[in-house]
Amino acid sequence: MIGVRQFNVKGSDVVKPKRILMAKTGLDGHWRGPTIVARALRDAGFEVIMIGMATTAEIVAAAIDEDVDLVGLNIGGHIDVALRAVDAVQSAAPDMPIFAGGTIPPHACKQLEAKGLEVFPPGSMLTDIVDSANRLTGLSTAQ
Amino acid sequence: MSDATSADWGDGFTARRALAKSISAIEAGGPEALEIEQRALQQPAAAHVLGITGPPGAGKSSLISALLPHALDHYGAVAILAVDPSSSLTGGALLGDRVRMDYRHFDQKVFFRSMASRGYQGGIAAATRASVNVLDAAGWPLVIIETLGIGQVELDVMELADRVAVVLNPGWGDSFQANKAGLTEQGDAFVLNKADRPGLENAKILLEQSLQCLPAATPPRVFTTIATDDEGIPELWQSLADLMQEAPKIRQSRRRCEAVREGAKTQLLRDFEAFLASPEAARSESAAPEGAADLLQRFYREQN
Repeated sequence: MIGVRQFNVKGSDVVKPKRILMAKTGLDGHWRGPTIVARALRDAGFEVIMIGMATTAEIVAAAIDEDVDLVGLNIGGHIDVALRAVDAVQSAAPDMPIFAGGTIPPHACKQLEAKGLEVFPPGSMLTDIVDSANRLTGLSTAQ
Repeated sequence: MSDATSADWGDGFTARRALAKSISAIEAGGPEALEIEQRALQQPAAAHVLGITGPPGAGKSSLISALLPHALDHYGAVAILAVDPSSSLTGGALLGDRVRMDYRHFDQKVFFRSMASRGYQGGIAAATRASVNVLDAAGWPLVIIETLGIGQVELDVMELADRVAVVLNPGWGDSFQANKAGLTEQGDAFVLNKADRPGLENAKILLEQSLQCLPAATPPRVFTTIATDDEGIPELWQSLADLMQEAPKIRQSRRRCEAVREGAKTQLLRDFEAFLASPEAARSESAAPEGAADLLQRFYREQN
C-alpha cells in the first residue's frame, strides 16, 4: 500500500484529515489516472473529493464550498484551459495550493510550474504524488 | 436571505468561503465547533431538511441530481450535505457524490459539501447536525442530507431530517428483508430506483405489503424512478414537497434540542474537568469506588 504513514493518529491526538479536490480539466474522457491517484491519496489518509470533468467555474465553486487544502488538476486536452482554471482558483483562493498531473508535454509543464504548481507528467511515481500532497497541505516539511 | 446564498459569484467568495470554513471548523470539533453551532441556534429555525438514504449504489446521488432542478424551482436555493465513509484503517476517504451531479444546475444557489463520516457510525457524520443548523442560520431554505450507503440500522438521519426518502432497487430483498426492523420502519417515502432492472413488480408489492403493517393511518408511498432518465422524478418531487410542507414540527425542534443538550453536556464536562484539576478535588484521593461518589458530591456542591 502506498504511503501508509502515521495517518491521522499521532499518539492519542486525532489530527483533522486534509481535504483534496480532484478535478479533470478539458475533454479528455478517461478516468484511470485521477482514480488511481485518488485511491493512493485516500490510502495515505486524505479525504479526496472527486468532481470529475468540470469547467473552470465549477472547479472554483467546488474548491470553495468543499474548503479543500489542496486542488489536484488532471489535465487533458488543451493547456490553455488548464491555465485558466489555475488562474481562477488562485484568484478566488490565493492561499490554496494546486498540483497537476496527466499527459502534459514538457513545455506545458513549464507553464504550470511558472504559476507555482508541482507537476506530475507521465512516469511520475504515486509515492512522489503522495509526498507532494503531504508537503503542500503542511503535513510534512521534507523536501 | 443571507450573504452566503445571495452573494454573486463575481465577488461573493468571501461570504461563501466563510460558510465553508465554519463547516470545516465544525468537522474539526472542539470548543470552536460548539460555539459556531450555539451561535447558529440564536436564529429561528426556518429551513426544511430532507434526508436521502439507502444502501450503497442505490442511486442516492443521482436521485438528488435529478431532484435538484425541481428543488431549486420550489425553494430558490439548495444546500446539500453528502456523506461518504472514512477508512477505519487510514482515516482517508473517497468522496464521490459530486461525480453524479449534473453541474448544469449548479450556480451560486447550490451549496454542495462532501463530508467524510470520520468514524461516526450512524450513516452520517458527527458534524452533520451542526452543519445543518449552521446552513439553516445562514439562510439556506432547503438542506438535503445524503447519507453514506447504509445497511439495516444506520438511521441517524431520521432524527435529523424533517422527511426522509429511502432509496432501494428492484431485487433488493425478499419478503423477509422487507419485514425486518430498521430500514422499512421509518422512511416517509420509498423509492425503487433503477426501475428498468428486472424484479420491479415483486419488489414493489413486497415493500408495500411491509409498509401497510406500519401503525401509520396512511402508509408511506412507494415510487418508481430511473433517476438518470428523469423518469418518475416530477411525481416524486411533488410528493416530497408536499410531505415537507406538512412535516411535524417535532423533528425541527429535535435537531435543535439535541444541539442545546450537547452544548450543555460539553460545558458540564469542561467544568468537571476543571474541578478535577482543582485543589478541592485533590483532597479526595480515595481509590475505592466510594471515592467517585465523594468527588461528584464535592463537584455538585461547588456548582451550587
